[in-house]
Amino acid sequence: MNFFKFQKRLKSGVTHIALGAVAITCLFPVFWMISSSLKTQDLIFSKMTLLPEVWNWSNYVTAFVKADFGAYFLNSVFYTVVGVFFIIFISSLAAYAFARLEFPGKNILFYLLIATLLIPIPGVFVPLYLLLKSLGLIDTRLGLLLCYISNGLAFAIFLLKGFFDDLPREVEEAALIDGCSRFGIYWRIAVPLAKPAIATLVIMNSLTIWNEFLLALVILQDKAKMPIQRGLMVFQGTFITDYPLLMAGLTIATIPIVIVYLMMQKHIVKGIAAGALKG
Amino acid sequence: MLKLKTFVSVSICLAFFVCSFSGCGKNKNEQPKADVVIWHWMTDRQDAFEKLAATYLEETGVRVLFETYAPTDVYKSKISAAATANLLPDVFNPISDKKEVASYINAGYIADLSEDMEKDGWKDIFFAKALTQNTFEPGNEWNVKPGIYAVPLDVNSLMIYYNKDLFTQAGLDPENPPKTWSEFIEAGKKLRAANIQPFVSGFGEGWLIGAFAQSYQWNLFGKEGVLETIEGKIPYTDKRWIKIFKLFEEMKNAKLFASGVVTMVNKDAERSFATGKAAMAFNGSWGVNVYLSMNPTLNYSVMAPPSLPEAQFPMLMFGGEGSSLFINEKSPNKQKAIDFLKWLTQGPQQTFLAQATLNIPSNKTVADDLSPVLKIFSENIANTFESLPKIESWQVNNFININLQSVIIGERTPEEAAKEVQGEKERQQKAAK
Repeated sequence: MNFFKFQKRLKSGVTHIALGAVAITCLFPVFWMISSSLKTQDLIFSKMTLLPEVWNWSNYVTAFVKADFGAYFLNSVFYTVVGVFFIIFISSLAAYAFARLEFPGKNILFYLLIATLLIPIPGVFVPLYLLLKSLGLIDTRLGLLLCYISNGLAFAIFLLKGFFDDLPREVEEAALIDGCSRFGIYWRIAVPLAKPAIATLVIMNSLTIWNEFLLALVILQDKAKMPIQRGLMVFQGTFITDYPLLMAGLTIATIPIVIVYLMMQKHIVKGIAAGALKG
Repeated sequence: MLKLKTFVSVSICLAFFVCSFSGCGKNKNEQPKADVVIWHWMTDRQDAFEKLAATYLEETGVRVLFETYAPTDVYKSKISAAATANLLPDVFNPISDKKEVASYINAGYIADLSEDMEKDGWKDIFFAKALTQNTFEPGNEWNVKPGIYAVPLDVNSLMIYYNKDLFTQAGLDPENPPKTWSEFIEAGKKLRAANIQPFVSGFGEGWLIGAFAQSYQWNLFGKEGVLETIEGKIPYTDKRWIKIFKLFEEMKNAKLFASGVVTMVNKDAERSFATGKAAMAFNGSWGVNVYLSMNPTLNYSVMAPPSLPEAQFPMLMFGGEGSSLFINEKSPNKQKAIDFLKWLTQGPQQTFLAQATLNIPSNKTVADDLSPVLKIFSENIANTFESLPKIESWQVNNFININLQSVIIGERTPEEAAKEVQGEKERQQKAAK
């Protein structure tokens, strides 16, 4: 084996070891979650083993029933699907307008929008609550949904505007000459070219809405409208936490979002690659 | 063109989905969901509350709805947002210190229950300590009308748990735990000699180390002395305060502390005691619940922090009111809410709650129905610190806690630690002026 081959293999080996270590670090909490979900409460504290001695699959049934996941699951699917759809739809239109149209106060508006990213959610609880009250939307699905949508817009517009800015103007000009309308250009040219960015936004916003809990708890009162994260609350007491059921519940709550991630994975990799090539 | 059509179709479907599933706001003619709505944060008590609400519905026809919002910081946000929007439920708790509770009272959100408490001797069923936290005395600094403003549900206190099996293993009598400081240190040495970690607590959480030290402050200074220290008349460099710092140094020198105690959070300390890795633990009465969940076979009891031989005052403990509920002054169901809470705090209901949730009920008449350990806690409620008209600033308390930790790790001598605290006290006094 010559020196260069050896060097190449060594590099590859070191890279694989380093990446393997990172992967283990990322996967271990997931492994611990699944392993704990199959243990009993006293075993979690008394025996720190990686695998349970007895596999308590019944924890999953108990968690599902006790946390009332059936109802919460549908709610979460609804908030996530509708919320993400409107975030992408509104933000792509707005981002395209910011990137391509000229109108007074465009820059100020854009920076104002970006500035809202700096405000933490707990900081807007009270004004949001008052606003929703005046609109008669407290304890309604629509109220919560509007909050989720408005919450996701600023970052989505920021990201998509960057993509639209970099699209070649020549393609759009050619389409205009061919008689395509502004909306047609947005719909037939800009959106398809921004697919990788949209895929990234879909996964990010799906994760955010699926895992969101604070806003739902503040805005909603009716248990029937609560998202899946509310179900996990029943396992966490003031002083004690039922870890096996909590972990089983977390595993159940994680599965849908993992599926979404796997479905969008290809586009996300493309999105990242496109972002890297742009620079 | 096909794609655009698909998009429009999906949009219409989604819009329909949104409208049909969410509705457009609330129906103004909607019936109230219950006669009394209670917002609370005690997730582990929800089942017990719901059972009691069902019994109450059967007995009186009044429907009570318990709604849980946890964790407490989210609950607090919800309460403050609802208060601003004038949408508070019939019963709630702002989970705040006295100053903030006073602001709710002055804003007209919390009802004065003094008159109702006097009726049928309702007030007399409670531990006196359970009421003091939410009682405002005449001339209070927040200008609140004197009165009782909350209904206590349970009480708690902090004591030292000890593992009977580990005591036996170290040759100690588990039925006669140490009562004096020297016995306590000796017991610790015997445990260490038997290769057992003697003492654990979440001293990484400042308030726990502070609570342990405060017991000795009351033991050495008494109520007047504690007050005079707060007023600045007794300095923290007083020899009795140096003695308090020296107690921690003595524990350190006798190797009583479990490793890492200074940075340990209480959850880890609880696990250490529950799994038999430490023989004694300074913890609250909620520990009964925690230890049961972590290790149902744990064989333990509790004892008061051991008194000092030179102390002229009784040994008192940190504790008092646990969870309380406040009634919305503006609620149209105010009387129904009061009636329900009156019912909830009576003997049978309190016994049920205590047995279902392993908390010490605020009703002192049900002590005999409690488990042996909870009964000891319950009997010790009378020995908790008295409520004071003034409190030490949080900055000084913080300095006390930090310096106690410094003494444990040997960073400062007791004298240096006392000097540091006095320095902060003087800074705060200057700032207040």
